[in-house]
Amino acid sequence: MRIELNDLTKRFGAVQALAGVTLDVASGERVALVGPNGSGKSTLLRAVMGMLRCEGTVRLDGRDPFEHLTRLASHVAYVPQIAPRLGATVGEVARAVAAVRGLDLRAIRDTAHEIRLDLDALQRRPVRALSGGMKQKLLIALALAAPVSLLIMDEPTASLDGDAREAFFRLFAERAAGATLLLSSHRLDEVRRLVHRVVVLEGGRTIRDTPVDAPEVTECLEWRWAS
Amino acid sequence: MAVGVMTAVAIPTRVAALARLELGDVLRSRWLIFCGALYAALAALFIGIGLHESAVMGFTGMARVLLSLTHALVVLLPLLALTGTGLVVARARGDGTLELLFSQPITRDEYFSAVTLVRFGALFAPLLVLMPGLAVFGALAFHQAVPWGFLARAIVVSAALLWSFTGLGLAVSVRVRELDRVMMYLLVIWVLSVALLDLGLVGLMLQWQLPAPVVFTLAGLNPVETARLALLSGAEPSLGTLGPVGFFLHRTLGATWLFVAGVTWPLAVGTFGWLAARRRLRAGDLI
Repeated sequence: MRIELNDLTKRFGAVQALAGVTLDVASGERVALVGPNGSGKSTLLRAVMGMLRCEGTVRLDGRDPFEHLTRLASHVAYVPQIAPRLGATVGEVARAVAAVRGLDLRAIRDTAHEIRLDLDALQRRPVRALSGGMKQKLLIALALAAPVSLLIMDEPTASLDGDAREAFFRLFAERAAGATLLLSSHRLDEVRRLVHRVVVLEGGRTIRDTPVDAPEVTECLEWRWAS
Repeated sequence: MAVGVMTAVAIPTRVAALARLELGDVLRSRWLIFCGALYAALAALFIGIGLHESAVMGFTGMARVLLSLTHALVVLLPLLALTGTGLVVARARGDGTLELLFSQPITRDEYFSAVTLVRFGALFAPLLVLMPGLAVFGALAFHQAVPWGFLARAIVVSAALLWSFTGLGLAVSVRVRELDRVMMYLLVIWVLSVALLDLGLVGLMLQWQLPAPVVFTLAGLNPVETARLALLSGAEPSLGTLGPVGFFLHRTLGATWLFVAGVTWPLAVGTFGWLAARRRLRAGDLI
């Protein structure tokens, strides 16, 4: 899926979250958004998901995601940065996602298993009672259970331990081979392993757009904004 | 390994999936149990003190019990509806639920429909069971005639009033983001709806020398007042029973049209609030 952003601007009250971002991501390309906290990475991802009304334009394969959310969301998977503090149980959430996506529940269960999450054992556990790592695994399982053409991930491995992170990389390679990826991350290993291109945001603006192996990417991630 | 192959999902399937998720939340919060228990406690109270006492406003026996119960509910239902709906969307926005849900192929209308159906259902279903149950209990235990006409009237009025404040609660929930401000708005709406009953307004009229048409307009615009009048539209049209606004409207419209207007106005207010909330949800930021 191709992503086109043209002069994207978003303001929350006095805060200028995005200030005229223009970006073109070709179908199948993998791009990381990096930058300090508050640089507009999450806002940009949410705008691409059609969750925010912005000035400028967002197009996914030529369509506005704000207007065509349902049609596009069938082909998009999203891992938010902060897991919802849902009172619903893991089983309820998995069943709801399976139902609205027209998925077999086993697909979610198997994906969860691959990332070391036992969905059966957690069926009755409220999502908000899971640990940070478990919540993140659940969100990844929900996102990667179905084949999609665009993956949007906001710090997907921030709460994962080393084993789970390796399992995630394997799962990603297996399930999302041809998909476009838009990733927000502070982690150099994650960026290096998942993307081809890095876009640096600061103050809601694009300040650099470079291949992932450029030296300034390492400098940015290791020294300036390391979490 | 099962391969996740997506198929096109029909709108009712998506609404049903969202409604199941919302219902799980309602059941977990014990909201349904609380509503049912409150209704039942009120019913028990009015049975205990009501059946053997003298006629009130021309109603006797079970009709009197139902009248007293519904009269209490006219004040209580708005509060239950507001607190049951006013926080739903604001909380879902704040805790990340909307972000997760709207990354799935659902529309804002589907989400809003599911929330509305479940929340209204959770408020109305216990009442729908309780009122006829109460009437049948009175018939079996105390050999009272079941006042079917009044029972139907009480159920219709309660449903209209619940819808009115469900719509208003959802409007606040969609429009206001901070939970403490949501609570403040809900409280103000409820206090106004109770304060602007005609008895309170007559006090204001005397104290502040408000012109009568202003008082009548304020009372007539209050869905709680109109619902109360719809409930009493079958009673003897006395000033003491209906209050000055009700008495005037009863004489102007007649019993049937007073009932129709008393049910229609809360429905209209609720529908207006609901449509405003839906419009806002469609057009605004989800997060």
